[in-house]
Amino acid sequence: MSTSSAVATATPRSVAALVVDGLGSMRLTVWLLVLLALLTWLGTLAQIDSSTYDVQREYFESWFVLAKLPLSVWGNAIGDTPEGSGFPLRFPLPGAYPVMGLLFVNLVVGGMLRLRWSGRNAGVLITHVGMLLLLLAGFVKLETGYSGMLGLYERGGAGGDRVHESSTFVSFHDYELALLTDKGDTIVERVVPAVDLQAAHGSGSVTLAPEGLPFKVQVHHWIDHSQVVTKGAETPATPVVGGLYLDQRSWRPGEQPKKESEIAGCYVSVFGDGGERFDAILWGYPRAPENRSNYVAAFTIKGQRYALDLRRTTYDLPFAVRLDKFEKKDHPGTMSPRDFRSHVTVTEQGQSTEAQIFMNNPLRRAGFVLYQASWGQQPMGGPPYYTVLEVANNPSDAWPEYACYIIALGLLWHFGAKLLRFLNSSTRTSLLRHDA
Amino acid sequence: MTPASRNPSVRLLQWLLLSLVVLSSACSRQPPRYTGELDRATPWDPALVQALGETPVQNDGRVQPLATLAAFTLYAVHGRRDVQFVAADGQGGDRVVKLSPTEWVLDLWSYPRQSAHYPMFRIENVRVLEQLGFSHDGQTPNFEFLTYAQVMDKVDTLQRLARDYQKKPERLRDAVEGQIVLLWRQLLAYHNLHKNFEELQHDVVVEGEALRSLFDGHERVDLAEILNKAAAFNDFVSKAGADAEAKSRGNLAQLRSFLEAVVRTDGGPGFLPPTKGTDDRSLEWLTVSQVTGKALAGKADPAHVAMIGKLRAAMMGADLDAKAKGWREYHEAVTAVSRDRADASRVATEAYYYRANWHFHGMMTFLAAFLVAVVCWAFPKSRLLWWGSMLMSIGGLGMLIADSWVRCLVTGHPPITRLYDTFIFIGGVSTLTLVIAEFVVPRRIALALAPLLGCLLVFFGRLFEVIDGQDTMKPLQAVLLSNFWLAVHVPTINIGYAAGLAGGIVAMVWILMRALRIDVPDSTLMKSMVRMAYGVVCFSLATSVVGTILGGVWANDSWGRFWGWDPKENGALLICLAQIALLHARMTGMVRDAGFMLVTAATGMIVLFSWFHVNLLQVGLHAYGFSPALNNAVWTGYCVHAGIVGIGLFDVLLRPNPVAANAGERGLAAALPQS
Repeated sequence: MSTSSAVATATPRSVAALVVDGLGSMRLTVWLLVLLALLTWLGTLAQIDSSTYDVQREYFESWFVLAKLPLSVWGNAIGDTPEGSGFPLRFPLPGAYPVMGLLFVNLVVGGMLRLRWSGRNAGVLITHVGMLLLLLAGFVKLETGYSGMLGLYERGGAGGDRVHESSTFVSFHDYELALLTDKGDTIVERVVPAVDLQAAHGSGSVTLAPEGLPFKVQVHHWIDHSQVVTKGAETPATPVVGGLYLDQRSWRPGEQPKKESEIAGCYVSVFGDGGERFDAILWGYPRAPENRSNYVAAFTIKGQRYALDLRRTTYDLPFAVRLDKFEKKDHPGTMSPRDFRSHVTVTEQGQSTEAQIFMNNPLRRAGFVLYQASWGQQPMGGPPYYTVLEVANNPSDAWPEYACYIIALGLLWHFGAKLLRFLNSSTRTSLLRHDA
Repeated sequence: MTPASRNPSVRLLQWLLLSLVVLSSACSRQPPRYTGELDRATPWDPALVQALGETPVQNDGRVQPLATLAAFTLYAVHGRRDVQFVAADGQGGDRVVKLSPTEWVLDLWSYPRQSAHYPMFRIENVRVLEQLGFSHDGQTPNFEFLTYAQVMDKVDTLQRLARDYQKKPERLRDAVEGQIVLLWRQLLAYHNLHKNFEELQHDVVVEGEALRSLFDGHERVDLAEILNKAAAFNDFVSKAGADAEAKSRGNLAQLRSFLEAVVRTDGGPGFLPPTKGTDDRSLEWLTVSQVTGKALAGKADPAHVAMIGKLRAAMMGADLDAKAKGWREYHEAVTAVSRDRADASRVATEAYYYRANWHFHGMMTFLAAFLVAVVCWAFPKSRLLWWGSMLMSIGGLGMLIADSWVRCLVTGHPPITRLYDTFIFIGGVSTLTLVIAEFVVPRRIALALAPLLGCLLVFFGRLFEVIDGQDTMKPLQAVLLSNFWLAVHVPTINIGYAAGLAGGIVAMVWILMRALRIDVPDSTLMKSMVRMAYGVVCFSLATSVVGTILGGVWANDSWGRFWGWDPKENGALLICLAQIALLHARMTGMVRDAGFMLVTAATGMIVLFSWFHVNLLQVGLHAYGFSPALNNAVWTGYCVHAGIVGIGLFDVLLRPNPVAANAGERGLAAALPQS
């Protein structure tokens, strides 16, 4: 009895120990690192044929990936289709997200808890702390961070519609469908993120029933990268509305797809409770900073004016940014800029401060960081210029830098100590000895 | 006693000699032939060539010596550091003519007819000739060369084909398509330099007494003369008003058309320095067409007009002496104006940099150090040879440091700003790493590998410089103009690459020694190599990890994101992951000596991928453009690495635990005693 009860009580412990052993195993570390390296390599090559953003989502932020080996990396000799997309050799792999998650657990269990805390291992422990902080920074950024862009024209330039000051910024990649209700002195917005409209791709549709409003909105024929085409003799695959239709836009041969350059488009059909019907094409071409207004589809039901707007996801800033002046200096005799910077005024709660944003000199304020990303000219070319600022909100902004110092200290400690031990060891002496 | 034929050192020397003979015979080709008679039979005065080579010009956003402009244009056009051809010597025989880049541009401007017949454009595939409509005798081991005149005969066909092929992604073009596009670019590079002074090489007929009276009654005038009389000419034009076509005005309309065409000529390098604002480096130097525009607006600086007159004399002088005189006077005029400019000292330093050629001397010193180290294997008791080789390696290293230092003085930036710089830096650091490894474990293996790797990397750097054909000191993009990050992140990550390559070469030699049965894994020599590789991998890992994270911190400061899975970032991460995995696998016993060395050798491929290949993928923030030649070089590197790793793997599978059969087969180990 006592033996069997001992076995019975020992079994759960050994399973737990087995799990801890497995999670903390250095062999697991090796395999996870190999897997991560494989994903990194494949994810790099995949960028030849896909946008970096898509690859990032598919390989590095996913739980699972059907990885592709793009043989086009070998040139046109092996496995290339005429379009150069490469032979679609695919195989399943876990995504980098679970791999890095498991690596984190492995590092905590094996590299921290089960590692002997001694002077000899101090360097390793410090390095592991830095690595954990680095992985944690990546996780926090992925889960809570967001970023986008803010385009502003120089103040005082011609063109009344141009945006000189703004307290919002828009996503690089994501779209949202906004339903605007005209309340006379205000506009009330209801927003549906594009991720909730995935079923509207192709022949599918998504029907939205805004609460308290006398109509339904059907979204259909969503195209991620679209253009509006005037109907000619051709027979389009999508509906024609007002002599126009939405068509798939293609990347030029050899051009790397860029998610941020995609312009989404879709069709909307509004069905009023009283039998009214309204059809429109929504095209997400961003007009700011040239013009604040978008291509909205307006309609009236029961005397109330509404509009639907397909736009990039818009975020609020806790302050307003105004572009006072954009400065661009070229290398002499060339069109290549050696410096471009934005002189801005930031206004927060009635207080205004001036700042300069330029390469390697971002503006940090209220948890947001504003970077000099790009610039452009007015549609006719030349000044006044507009600036494009990248805006990022990342709670773990500075963590990688701290991690870097910690890891550098840990590695220097560990490898330095190892070298010193080796120099004074008998191993070295034996290695210098001539074989018999 | 080991018979000489079985002595591994002797065998190694035999192989080396044979390789050198094969290499030199493969690389030596008969220069192409110049057909016809040379207009310039005597060479340019070397003193003039040097002086002109040091004359400042503004090109690609910076002021540089004329020799730099000439050299990089020549690399881009000709793919060589000089122009060589066989020409008739006028006495029934032949002579080989060799022109430096500066001599070539002097011919281009002063002897355009002659230089148009230089065999400049190398054609490697006769199908290119077929597509352009040239007859040929089939593919031969020697390359075909076309002259500028020949290519211009087919320029319409070439332009049409190039435009078609340019629509295809570079990596998907076949060899012929790629070469036709390249030929088109080479022609443009040639033409861009050729056209700089084209307007000075022609006269314009002047008709009508009134118009001729402006030019002292001359029936023909050149641009320099017109600019000299610009004030009177402008006055004449304003008086003519809309009546320019009238007979009394002679061929004023034609003259004006000529001048307007000159003004419309595209930019190109600035040969005429600003005469004011000596402290302002951002001032633009002027071209002949810009000065012409200013002259027509009545705003030309007389100093510039005078320089154009001297250039005209250099182009159109009656003989070599007259042309040389024109060039000399132009050089003196430019030097006098630019002497006090802020960038004058940098131009002088740059001229010194290319003249001193420290990296070339470093490469040759490394080669000598390597050969001494090989001899050292044959005379294992000689401390003199060990120190000789070691000091030469250190000397070569000093030369690379001098080279980088002078480059820093010229560019005003830390040592690595361009891909070219990485060759010199990585060559130096990998040599230093192995030199230190040799001091730590003095078994004479790293003694030879240190200078060999340094020599090879500098050699590849020089090859890259010519193949790329672009100024290696070009001004940087705005995002890179941060000396702090250029000094912190870039060298750190490149030290990681260098150490990764150093570890890789030690591992590859270990694999070959095992596979070729030069030694057995249990020998102290082989064990010491494993230990050496381990130390180098640890060093590489530390610098790669810190360098990679620092890169992320810089990216976060510049673009707002620490990590974007950009190919270059991924490449650096791959090195870190491979080395961390390797060290952990070694700790767990998943790999032992052979496995460790195989993976270390394979890591060399990852370094190659990260350092170079990701730049050729044409995606991400570090895409520097695609070049078939560079792509082939990268794949050759992969093949060499993969071949050796494959041999090693095969050997390990076939002979998991090789044992020395006898003392003779211990081979090199016996020849490499305790130091």
